[in-house]
Amino acid sequence: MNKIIKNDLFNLIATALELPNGSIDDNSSGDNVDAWDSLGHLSILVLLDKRVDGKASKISDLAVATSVKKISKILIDEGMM
Amino acid sequence: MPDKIEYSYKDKINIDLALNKDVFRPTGTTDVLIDAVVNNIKKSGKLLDLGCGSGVVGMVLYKMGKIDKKLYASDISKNAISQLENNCSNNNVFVDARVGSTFDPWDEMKFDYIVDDVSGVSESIAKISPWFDNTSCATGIDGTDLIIDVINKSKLHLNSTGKLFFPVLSLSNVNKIVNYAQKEFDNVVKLSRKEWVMPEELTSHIDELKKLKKENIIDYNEKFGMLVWYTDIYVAW
Repeated sequence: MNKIIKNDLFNLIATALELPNGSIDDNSSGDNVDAWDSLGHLSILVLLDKRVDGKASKISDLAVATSVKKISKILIDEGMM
Repeated sequence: MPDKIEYSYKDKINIDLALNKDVFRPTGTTDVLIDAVVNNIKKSGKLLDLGCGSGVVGMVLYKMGKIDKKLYASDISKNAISQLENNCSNNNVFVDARVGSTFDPWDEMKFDYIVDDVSGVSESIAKISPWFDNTSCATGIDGTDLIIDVINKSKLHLNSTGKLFFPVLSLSNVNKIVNYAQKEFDNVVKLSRKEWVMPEELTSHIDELKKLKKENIIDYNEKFGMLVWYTDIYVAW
């Protein structure tokens, strides 16, 4: 599995939320992106899980990681980023 | 007075919908079903929207050019059909709408496509879920009664090359439904899956969920620290 770089994560989140590439940045979160509701969050996690070969589904902290910063921190801690 | 909403399909089709409280509202499953049908009907034909509710599935398919001439639609609820007729009129959709249970209103009529949107979750789930306040859910303990009835009768109402599209919710007995479809049809193919977070109203009954899962009445997965259930869309021919 190749490690995720920041731009990959931005594009992955944008794709999951059906937003254009470039619309997600370091400050994006469920508080400031309309499409990032509970359904959108699950779409992000499902796509992320595919990207990391099923390793994300076992990380329970992702359930409440509803911002780019929180997701990034978890991925770094887990050695995926 | 009915609520009014604008339903948008991928920013391509916008439909003005009036919705009474006792008519099923478009759900996430509606979106997934529309998507699967749009992507898998290559040639327009005679289409029946079964369990049409307010009519959004059929109206989107009509607007997307998947239906010849007029939409055929039926629902067990008189109010739903009345609402559907108004919604079709307001959105310039030609419709033949009838009241009745599953295929009862359609005599010997045959179709190229049947799109089933009849609700199908376990009655045990329906009782504790937030989804069935004013609408009927006579689906049996494992949520399969209505969909199996539809699968059973649909072959009589499909042309020789006709196809049945149907959603299977993991809050019902998925294996029983799919196995039944495989007995009735030569081909049964899963088109798509969409996962959903289990709502709090259900997770607060975790012991009941575990019991139903153990009995194979429902299915869900534990992922990302959440309980996740799913909708699969199938086509059979």
